[in-house]
Amino acid sequence: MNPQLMTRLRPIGYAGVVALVAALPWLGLDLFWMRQLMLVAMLGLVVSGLNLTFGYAGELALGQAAVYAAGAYAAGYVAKNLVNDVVLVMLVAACVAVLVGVVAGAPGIRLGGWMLAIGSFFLVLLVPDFVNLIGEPLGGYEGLSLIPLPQLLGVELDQYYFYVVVVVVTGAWFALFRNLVMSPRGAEFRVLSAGETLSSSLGVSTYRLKLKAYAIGAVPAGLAGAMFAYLDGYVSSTSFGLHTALLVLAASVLGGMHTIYGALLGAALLTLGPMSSSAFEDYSTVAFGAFLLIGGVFLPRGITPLLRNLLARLQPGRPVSTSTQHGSGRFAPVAGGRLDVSAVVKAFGGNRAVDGVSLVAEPGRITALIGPNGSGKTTLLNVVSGYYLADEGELRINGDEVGQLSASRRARRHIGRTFQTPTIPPDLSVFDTIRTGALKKEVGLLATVLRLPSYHRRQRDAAVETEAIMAALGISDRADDEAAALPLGTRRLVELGRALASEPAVLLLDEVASGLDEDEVTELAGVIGRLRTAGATIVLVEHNFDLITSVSDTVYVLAEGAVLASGGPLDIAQDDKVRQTYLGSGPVDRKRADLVDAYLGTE
Amino acid sequence: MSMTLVLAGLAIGAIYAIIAYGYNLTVTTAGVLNFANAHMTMIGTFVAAWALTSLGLAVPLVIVVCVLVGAVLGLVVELTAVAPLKSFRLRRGGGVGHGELVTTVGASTIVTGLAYIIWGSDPIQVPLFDDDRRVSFLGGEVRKSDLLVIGTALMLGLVLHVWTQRSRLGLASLAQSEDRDAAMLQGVNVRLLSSAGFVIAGALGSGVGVIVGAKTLAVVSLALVLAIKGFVALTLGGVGSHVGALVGGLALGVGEVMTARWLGSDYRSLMVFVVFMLVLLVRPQGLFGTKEGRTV
Repeated sequence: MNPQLMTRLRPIGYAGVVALVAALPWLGLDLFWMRQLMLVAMLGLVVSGLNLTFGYAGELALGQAAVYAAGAYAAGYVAKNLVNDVVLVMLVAACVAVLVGVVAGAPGIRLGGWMLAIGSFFLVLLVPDFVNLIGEPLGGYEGLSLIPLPQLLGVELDQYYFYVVVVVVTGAWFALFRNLVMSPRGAEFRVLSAGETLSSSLGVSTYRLKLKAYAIGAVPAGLAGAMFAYLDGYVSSTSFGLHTALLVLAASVLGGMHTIYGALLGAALLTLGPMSSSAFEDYSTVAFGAFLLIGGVFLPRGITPLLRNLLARLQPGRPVSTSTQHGSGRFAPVAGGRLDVSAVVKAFGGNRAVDGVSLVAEPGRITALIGPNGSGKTTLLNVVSGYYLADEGELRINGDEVGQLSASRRARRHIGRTFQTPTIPPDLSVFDTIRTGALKKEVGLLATVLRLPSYHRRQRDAAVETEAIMAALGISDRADDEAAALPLGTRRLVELGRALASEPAVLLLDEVASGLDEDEVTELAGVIGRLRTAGATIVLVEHNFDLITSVSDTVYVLAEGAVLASGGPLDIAQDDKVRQTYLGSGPVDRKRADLVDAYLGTE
Repeated sequence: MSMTLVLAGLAIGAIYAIIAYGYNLTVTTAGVLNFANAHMTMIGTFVAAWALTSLGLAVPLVIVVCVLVGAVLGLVVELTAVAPLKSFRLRRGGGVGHGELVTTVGASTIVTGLAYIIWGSDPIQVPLFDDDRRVSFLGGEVRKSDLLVIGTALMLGLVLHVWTQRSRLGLASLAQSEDRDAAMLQGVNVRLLSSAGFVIAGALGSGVGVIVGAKTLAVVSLALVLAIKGFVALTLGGVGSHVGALVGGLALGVGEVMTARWLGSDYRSLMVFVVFMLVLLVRPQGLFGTKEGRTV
């Protein structure tokens, strides 16, 4: 079937499946199985939130059980005392859940990792204390009982129609969740998972993005909480303790935390599987632990990918491209800017790592920064990128002072960069990775999850822009390959493409040649040369003197935090001081001559 | 405030400090926050109760048994939940040690489950003292078991602090926690170091079981509470610092007892959570921690 038709039919097919599941009671599904399916849906919702925060954004917020509890209590309280309308109650539950989710996530905003995991886990333990402190309105230790049957627009829903509500809401959430994950806004979360250095270099405010992840991840838990409250008309803090926290984590690990529908699969396995039978009760804790341990070690991606691979094998595979011919396409004109670094000082304690460095980088020129280890190159680069703030001195781009801006704001406005070790988030294609360079251009969350016309418009524009970059880099044939799994040289090009996608005024390349073989360096030299022709301002921080001499226009030699010498590459190569401190003395070798030829040949 | 209250708080805080030492040990040697760390102490309390009552061993022998059990358990956790991840990991994922968080939570859950099956959920006495009566001390009243816990925490903190700064293993851990790759190049066997850290942390955590249990009783649910509050103590003091862990633990314990006394016991854990949040907002590196420079 043609893929475009598939894309069109997908939503219809999805709606059909949801409708079918919703209609099951009229096709003979009995009450017991209705309840089981509702439990699967509820757990699946809670797990999907964890998949977003942990699986995609890499932030292990274990407080999902507390968020679930917040939704359930909010729903129970509202339905009992204020207004009993299933839509309104779910809305309130989701809002309260978001609030709790953000509080639970607060420890992670600055630190992430363990702090977040254990801090949010802590919140789960606080649920009974908190409920008891509130006392009567939430029913204290006895639990909140006598929650009325759900109503929709004043009509009481019997268990069949409540089942329909649960299925439809769950179906709708997973559709939106899928739309989020399979979009540039979803890629943004994966960028976050690859670390703050990367996300801020792409102009993403990690602080806001983390909050967003916690908030969105809390929504389904709040919805599930409302369902929980209505299901039995009773909410007790004992339903949301350690056991639930572990159940959610185990279901996520089992189904695959980097998946969308794996949440439902994991939930189904744990709700309907042998674990649920009472014979296992004594051993259920041990079994959960074993799931987490074995799953965490052997199936870090859960069982869903295994099933997917199995399915993929049954289908005829797409031909895998093996050619690595990298084109020599031209880059579209780049509006480079002028970078002025004047008298910048950065000290760590008593060590002045950068001690009064001034340099200029201009559009259409390649400015190289060389120097032995410890000379301050990397520190200077980090000062320019905004990871460190300079103690003294000024940084200007096109005359605007940028020295006080955060790394992410600098990235949004002026600076694109690559990393010594290419930093590429997992599970993204080359196309999607390059596109993450242009996150600032992507449409908002709402337009994304609802697939509004503005989203489709942006998709078309981005395809044109991204394909042009890939063509110029000569990696178009790799567009659909997983970027993180490519060879080093190609990953470097992908990173370069990502930096270009942000349309930077200044392009910082941190040791782009390290680890590459000669052919790859030659190729890279060609790419950098063509970028210069296109008008980019390129700052090259390099160890590889051959690359420097072959491509650069101006070379600054750093030693002990200060500029030792500067000038054209040939002058530098002849400079006695530089020779002594850095290069050693030797004739220009053949390799370097080759590089110069390669470079000139592409001009 | 009365000295009696302070001493009661110090005794609770001393336990948090001991748990925090365990966290520090695996963080510095293996780069892993071991969620199953407090569970070693929980197991230690049960083993101590069993060795004291069923076996009728003398206290030093009880401690030896606890240490051995803890060392083995620590090694098992490292070999099953930590080592495989290090060898399987093809590329460094997102945050540090996320995979280990899942697997050590798994290990801790297995330990909890087994403890329930073996010992049940009711608390068991750890009869270290025939008669754990209150004695006068510094103008307050305190149980002998409380004094013993406080003394143990002080002594262990001092020993660990000196050991980290002086011993080969301690220095290797410091090197490892600074820069794993550089340490490997310097000839530090990080594989062995990781195992050693878990064995030592397990032995220490379980070895104090008889002392902790004399105060808290042996009960399965102890592990989770200690895991969380010990972690808050660690955060308060600054990850990696044993002195910080001691100060953080003691301060937390005293604060908790004061809160319970003046606001009511429902506020105890809430207060600890608030402290945790405040530390993270105001001084995320903790009292004795150092701010890490960012490296690209």
